[in-house]
Amino acid sequence: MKESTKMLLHYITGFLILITGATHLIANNLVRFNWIKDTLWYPMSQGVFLAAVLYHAMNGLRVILVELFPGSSSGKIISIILTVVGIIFFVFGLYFLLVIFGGR
Amino acid sequence: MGRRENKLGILGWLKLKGYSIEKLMYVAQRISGVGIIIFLLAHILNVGLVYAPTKELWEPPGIIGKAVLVILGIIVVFHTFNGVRLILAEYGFIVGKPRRAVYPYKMTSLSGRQRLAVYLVLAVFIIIFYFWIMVAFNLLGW
Repeated sequence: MKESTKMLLHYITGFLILITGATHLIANNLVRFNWIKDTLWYPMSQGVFLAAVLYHAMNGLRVILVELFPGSSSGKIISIILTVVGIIFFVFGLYFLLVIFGGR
Repeated sequence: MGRRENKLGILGWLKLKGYSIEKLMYVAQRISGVGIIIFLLAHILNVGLVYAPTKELWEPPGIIGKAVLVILGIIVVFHTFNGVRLILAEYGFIVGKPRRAVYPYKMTSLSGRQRLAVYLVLAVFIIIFYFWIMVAFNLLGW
């Protein structure tokens, strides 16, 4: 994947986080808006939130680490490690989203 | 190793003297990002391992735990608004048009709307910071 594609995805996921993250914070922290959690759209938006926030986090960390440790070989190692960590947390998070929201 | 000569590593983040305010925003964006990542991964593990089986929400205990969440809120607000500014700057929406370099060499790409956006981000951040501190004082029971 080209570097510019990675960064375009970084900005797209950033925008997605702006929407789904705001939904997450409002639905969980404001008692008036707790009803959002009972809608069908909420678990779906949280799935999107999980994927977007993990991509954004791992790519952000990759950008920092690649700048601190330049070179193509270290870049590849950093990419592989962060991709694996991201996928592990995504599978883990998705499993528990299904555990929490699957029972209704 | 010639290419390591100019390498400052993470210490380069601390070099702010002589740089524009954008450098400060860049460093703050990175530090806040790393802070949010640490919270994010801990939060996923926390919700998955504690909330999902027991349906009881675990929160960091004590005043330090609450203070961490308060600081996290401030960090997230900053990261969000600065991130929107960075997207706009990246695709050229707030960057001024390039100009022929004539004396006194004012950079239109750094001044003008781009700099205004920096001040706007800082202003919004300070306003929300104020309200958030008000909420936090209630939260902390001070």
